[in-house]
Amino acid sequence: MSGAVSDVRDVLGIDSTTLEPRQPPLKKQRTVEKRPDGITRELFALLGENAPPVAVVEHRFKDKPKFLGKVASWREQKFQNPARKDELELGHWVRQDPGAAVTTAADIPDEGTSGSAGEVVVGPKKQLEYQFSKFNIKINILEYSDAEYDTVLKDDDWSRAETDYLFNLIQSYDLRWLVIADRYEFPGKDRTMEDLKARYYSVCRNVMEMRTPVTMMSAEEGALYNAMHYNKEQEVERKRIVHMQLYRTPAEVEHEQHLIAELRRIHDSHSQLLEEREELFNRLDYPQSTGSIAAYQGSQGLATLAQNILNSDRNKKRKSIAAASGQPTASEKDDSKPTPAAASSSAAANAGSPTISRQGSIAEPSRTHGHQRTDSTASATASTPLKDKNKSNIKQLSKAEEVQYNLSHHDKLQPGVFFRTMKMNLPKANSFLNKSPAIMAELNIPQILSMPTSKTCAKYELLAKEIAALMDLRKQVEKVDQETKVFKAQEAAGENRTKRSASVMSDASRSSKRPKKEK
Amino acid sequence: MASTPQMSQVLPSTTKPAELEYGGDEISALVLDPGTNTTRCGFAGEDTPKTCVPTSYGIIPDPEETKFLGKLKIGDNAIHSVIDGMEIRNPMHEGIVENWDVTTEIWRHCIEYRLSSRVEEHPLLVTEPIWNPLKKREKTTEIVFEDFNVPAYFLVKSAVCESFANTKGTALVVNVGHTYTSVTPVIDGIPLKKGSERTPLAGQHLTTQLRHQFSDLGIRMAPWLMIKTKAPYTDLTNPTPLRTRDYGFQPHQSFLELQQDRFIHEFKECISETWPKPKTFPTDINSVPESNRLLQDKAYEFPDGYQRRFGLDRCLAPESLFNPSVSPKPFTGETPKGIAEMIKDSIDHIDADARVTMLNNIVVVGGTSLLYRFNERLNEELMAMFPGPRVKIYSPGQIPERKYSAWLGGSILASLGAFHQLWISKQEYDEIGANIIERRAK
Repeated sequence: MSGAVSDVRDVLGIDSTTLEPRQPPLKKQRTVEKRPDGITRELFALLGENAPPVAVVEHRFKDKPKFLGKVASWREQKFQNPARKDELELGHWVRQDPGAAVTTAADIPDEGTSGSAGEVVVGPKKQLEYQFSKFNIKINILEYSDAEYDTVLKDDDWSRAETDYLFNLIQSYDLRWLVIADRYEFPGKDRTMEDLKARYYSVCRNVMEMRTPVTMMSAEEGALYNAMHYNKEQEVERKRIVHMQLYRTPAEVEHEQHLIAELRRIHDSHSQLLEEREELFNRLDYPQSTGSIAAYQGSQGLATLAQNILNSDRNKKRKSIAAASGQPTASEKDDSKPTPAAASSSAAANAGSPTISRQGSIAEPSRTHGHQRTDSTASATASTPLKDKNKSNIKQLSKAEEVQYNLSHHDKLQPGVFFRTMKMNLPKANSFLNKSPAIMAELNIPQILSMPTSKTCAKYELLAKEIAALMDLRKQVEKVDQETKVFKAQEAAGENRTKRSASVMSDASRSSKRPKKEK
Repeated sequence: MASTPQMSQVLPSTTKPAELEYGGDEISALVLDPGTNTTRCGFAGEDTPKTCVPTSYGIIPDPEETKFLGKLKIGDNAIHSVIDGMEIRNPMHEGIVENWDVTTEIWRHCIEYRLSSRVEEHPLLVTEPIWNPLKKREKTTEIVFEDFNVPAYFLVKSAVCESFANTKGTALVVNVGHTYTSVTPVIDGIPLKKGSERTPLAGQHLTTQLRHQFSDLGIRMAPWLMIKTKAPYTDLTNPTPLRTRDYGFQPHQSFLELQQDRFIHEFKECISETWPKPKTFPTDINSVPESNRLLQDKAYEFPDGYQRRFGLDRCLAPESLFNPSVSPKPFTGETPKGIAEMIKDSIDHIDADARVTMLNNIVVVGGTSLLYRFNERLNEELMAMFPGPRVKIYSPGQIPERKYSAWLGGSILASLGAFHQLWISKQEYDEIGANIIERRAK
């Protein structure tokens, strides 16, 4: 203890004899009351007048940090930087690895280093490269000789001195054009960055071309030669546009952002669109006939053909379903419905429901007007086993759900693609075909339905039928009127015929009431 | 002794980092960042300056003293002591040294007294504003080598340091300091002269405006040092009597102003606030109804005991930084442009290709930028001016980093291994003379 104190005094230069040895500080008297038995330490601590704070403050120094190994020694060393042209020596601290004999790259062997810190002692010039000097990189700028300048580089606008000044700046600022243009102060000249660039690149090109003709240049040189091409007007124009771009109004910016978003959306949906379009093309495709059609002349041949087409169509659709991976489009829904046979029977079960489906539009008139379709229903009942089998697989939808999913049932599916309007059951009478355009025009109904859903088609059929019926009736009325006139003329001739004509007249008036009401 | 390659793990103090891992090589350099308000000084490689000495100095005029014409008082303790006949002066103007004799003494005080270092032992890095003229740069070089006898020295533009301190090589540095606000484009660590702008709209401008605002209200501007007893009051027409301290002499006016600046400074820090939206500050703040003020009143007690609630009027002086026409005290000469307009001017001077990069890298530093919501307002202004490109403001969150950014950047620079080839050595100075600064530190 006293030895350590005298050491400190020596260091501080205090004469130890002048100071009296200091009295050791008096130990603090601790008055600790004896704790009675039966009371825990914690409880006892809470008793008394001045309860101690909860945090127990220990009067001792912090633990010594535990170092794993030996403390490494660091030494201040002088070093020189080879990137410098002078012999400036700076000092840094270098760690001395006790085991390693080899010191770091920047170190100078410490032979002859004296103890005092201020003194600089350089060992033998065994100094290795200073590690950071490798960052001292300068770019290679083309240099031209006087002869070269005189032959190809003369320019009316640029003097030799100014060209030299420019090349010096380029060298010192490493081709950072922004800085070069900023610092360019040649007396009497006010140059833009484009002027400087144009001059520099033209000088480079001319010198390169003179040293090696373009045809003789290697691939690298040729690439560099072409890269040096500088179009000043284009650059000036480009910068003008960049400037305009910066000072757009907020509305323009918003509009542009909107357009960009739209473009991105289109790009995103482009592939999907292509896929859908291809599928549509596949659907519209029909097989090209190559062979002779002689085989299909007979009715049996035709039936075989129909079957073949149906099969190929089915295969195609299956493929497209597999491709669409569970995203059925509106047209594909038709494939997922029950087989035609099962559909017709379920439609029969739904008889009397409002006709909303495509099937309904065909089936209902067939039930109300004559029973032409009874054979198909009969064939359906013949294939009940198939129907039951399918029914077990298919979830039965309620009518409301069928409407919601736009599900429709069909008696019989015609293979291939067709328009719904083509399948409409319109009256074929000549009178109807002649007159109907005028009547439809009068009713403000277009000849060709703009939205031929199954509902509108059904309505349209109904309307056409009523028109036909009314036209029929009018024809009847005219005929009867004519007859009445004839009979009235004959009335004068004979009284005995009047009874019959009267009955005919009442018939006609009864039927002519309806068209008036309808209109 | 292979060092761990992961940078995420902090190396234990016993492990040596890989030599090129952080590029640092400490050569115990000193960094000196002289400003008009304070002079910052410390050791390179540290994260804050060791000492921050006010550049203002006290002087007791004495015609016998030939060099300074009086006795100098340097440092916080000295200039705030009440001394008979002591005047407060400033050797610098807008970051440029006017009085070299005193500045040399202040620098020496910083290094030798505050840092307890021998100036001839350490390389010295000094910062300078971009508009520092060649004569002053040469004079600095001369003093550093002749008077201080440093082994190596370098003069670096403070804007470059500020961009380095914010980890940017290319940035538009906006320094809102004490006597000036400057905008400097920095490209790859090289400042552009043509795009740099400055304006006196800064901390001192705020102080002047507030002083004018207070005297308009009729507040007694008695500084803390002069008050013996006080009693709080709220009615300006009926102030409580004030007993001032009697020092046996009347302190110099410049000393009183320095002391007044101290509580005005406190007011700036606690009460002043920037109005957040551009072009919406009410022209007549007294007619704005209470419900429409958008900010709460703040109370402040002046040193003489006057208590007052400040509402919109506490935004008035900061508003004048952006919109100088609302300044409480009119400008004597031409009204300068606001800070945002100045940034726009600077952007317009830069080449069109670099403008977007600049707007993406705006570095805002300086003590006055610590005004509440200053950066928010600046961002709003710039967004309104440039709706197209992304405007991004980088500003250190830590107060010391904001205030001492230039010093911090200098500290980083002077401790980089790759920087050591740039030092101007005594040998080079002896060969070429003071003009070497123009060749080496462009």
